[in-house]
Amino acid sequence: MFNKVLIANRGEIAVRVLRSCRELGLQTVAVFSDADRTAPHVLMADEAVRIGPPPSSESYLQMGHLLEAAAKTGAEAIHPGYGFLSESGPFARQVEAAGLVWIGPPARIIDEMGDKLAARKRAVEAGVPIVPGLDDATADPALLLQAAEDMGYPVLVKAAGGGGGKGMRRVERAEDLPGALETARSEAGSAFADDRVYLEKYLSAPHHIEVQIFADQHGRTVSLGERECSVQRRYQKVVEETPSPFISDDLRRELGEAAVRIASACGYIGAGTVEFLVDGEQNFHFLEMNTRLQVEHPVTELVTGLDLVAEQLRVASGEPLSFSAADIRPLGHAIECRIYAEDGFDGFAPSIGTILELTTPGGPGVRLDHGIRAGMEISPYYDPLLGKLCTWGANRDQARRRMSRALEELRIVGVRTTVPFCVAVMEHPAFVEGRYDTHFIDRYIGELSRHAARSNAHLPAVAALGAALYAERESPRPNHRAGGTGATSPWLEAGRRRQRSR
Amino acid sequence: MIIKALIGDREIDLQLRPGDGLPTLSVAGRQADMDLAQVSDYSWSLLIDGQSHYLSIRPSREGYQVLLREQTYQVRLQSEMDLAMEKLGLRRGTAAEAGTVQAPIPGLIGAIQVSEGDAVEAGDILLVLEAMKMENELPAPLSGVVEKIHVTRGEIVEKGAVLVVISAAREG
Repeated sequence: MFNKVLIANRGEIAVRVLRSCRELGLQTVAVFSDADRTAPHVLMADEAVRIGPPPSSESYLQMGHLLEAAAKTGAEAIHPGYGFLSESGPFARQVEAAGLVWIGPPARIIDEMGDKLAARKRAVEAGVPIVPGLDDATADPALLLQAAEDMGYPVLVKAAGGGGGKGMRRVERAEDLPGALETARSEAGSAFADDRVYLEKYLSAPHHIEVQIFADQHGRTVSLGERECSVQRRYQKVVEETPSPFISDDLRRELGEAAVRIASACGYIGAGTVEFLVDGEQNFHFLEMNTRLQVEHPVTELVTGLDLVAEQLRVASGEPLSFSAADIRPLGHAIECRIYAEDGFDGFAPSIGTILELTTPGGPGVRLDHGIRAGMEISPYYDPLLGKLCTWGANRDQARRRMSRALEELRIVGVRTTVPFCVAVMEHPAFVEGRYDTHFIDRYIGELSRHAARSNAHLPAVAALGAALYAERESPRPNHRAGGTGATSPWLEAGRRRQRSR
Repeated sequence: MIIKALIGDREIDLQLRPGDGLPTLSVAGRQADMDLAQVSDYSWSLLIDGQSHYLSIRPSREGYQVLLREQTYQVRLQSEMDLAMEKLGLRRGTAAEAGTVQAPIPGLIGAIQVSEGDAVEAGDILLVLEAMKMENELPAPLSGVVEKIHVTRGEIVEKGAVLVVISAAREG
């Protein structure tokens, strides 16, 4: 195996990858922008190289800077994490051309599966049902209108080259189609430099279920089971769990087999995820394939006992997978909550500021992957994901209760986070009973925000009392607040500031 | 003496009484036993009749931000003086001008298109706030003169931060 790995990422995933490298005795090279000079991934790495100013377009997305950093430090392999350049065929190609090992599937597979139309074609060849649609990125409006008419409204306009909800439009009526096509094309063009769009039937209330697969360079492709990812907002996942509380064992087996067929059909190598939409009658349709490590991979690790990053390193270095299909016997249940610097009850508005204090949860069945520390500034430059809290339980109920408990233990002072939102999800009856689909958040956002107030009715009074005692205690201290406007106590000053800034 | 707290639109009567050290709390006509101990820079342990509460408290634009269990509460405190003044119609800072432009979302200050002293018309673009990969143009809420610009290009601002103050043009 190679000896030194450059991690072309930041935040929690850079820390996650670094940990497996270290366990395998590999040297690690971190890269950082000026905003991340003292970020945890830099502090933990053996070596660290500056790659540019804060904006990711000038640092973490600069292929040349990353390759220079690898050359300078003598790194022999590059792990891209997720996001940034992880699904860039051109970058994978440049890494290989520089004589380095790319820890991910080969560039040609990234290109092929990144093109949604090509991926749908592969699925059909592998005998896997796809969401009905018009598999032709045609610009002919008459043809598109006819196709939409045939599949029936609502339909989705989707970008062939992208994901993450960009370039995606839901269309209810024929008269809205031309406008939606135009916006989607322009959005897709600027986001993915590819303005091809196509039509898909809009499935109502589907489940978003994905299968983790792993393939080595010796022809072995294995399914590691599914993850239920239906708690989503704006097509972005917030909570994931495995196994899915919704699907039958028959469907579970079918999905695993379908995912392995698709991966085998394209000669897949490394870690990958095949995403499916499953409707209320347990009919499934291939959605897309992600050619990277997923954010939510820890839940699979918790029930299988595997280290997926370590397997990625092994596969990339040419070694066979450390397990076979027969070894995969998932145990218990795992849940992940994504901790974003966002206020879940205020339309997921981003929150920036300095993390003043961080207290992390522990105890049985708890795992926290994060890339933050006290004193660190959360800037608007990067993805707002601070970390991922995962719990394992012998059964779903234990995992869920542990999650509520661990979320309460996690204290992040300084920025608003999705922690309170996740607690409300854990305790919502539809989630408790495992009856939810991708409309969960939209349908229950009102109930979720009321939940917090209901279940902790006495806590506002305690908070108010705490603030009052604090103010009384701090008030005689001179220079408590900067400004010196003659206020006799900090609450008066704060009140004035508030009024002035209205 | 602080006697009232506001959390959102909820008013909480604190039932506090002045004491030698900490004020005391009256619960159902009985004096409650309170103990506030500092844990770290921002965190405190509050025991109320033995009930243990772990809080993080920091002054904020709104008053105080209190983290308790997993919830964050915005607490505004009012003293007897505040309430008396409010009764007399003397709310502090009611002159808070309509010409104050605040950040609607947190973000990065982009191009600032006006200077202090400039005359602006309602709707003129004052500056650009970059957030969530979008450029948001913030317009002048009224016609007048740019009195004060509180930010500089490249600065990161929180939601609600005061960016620009416009003093209204005099009628006639």
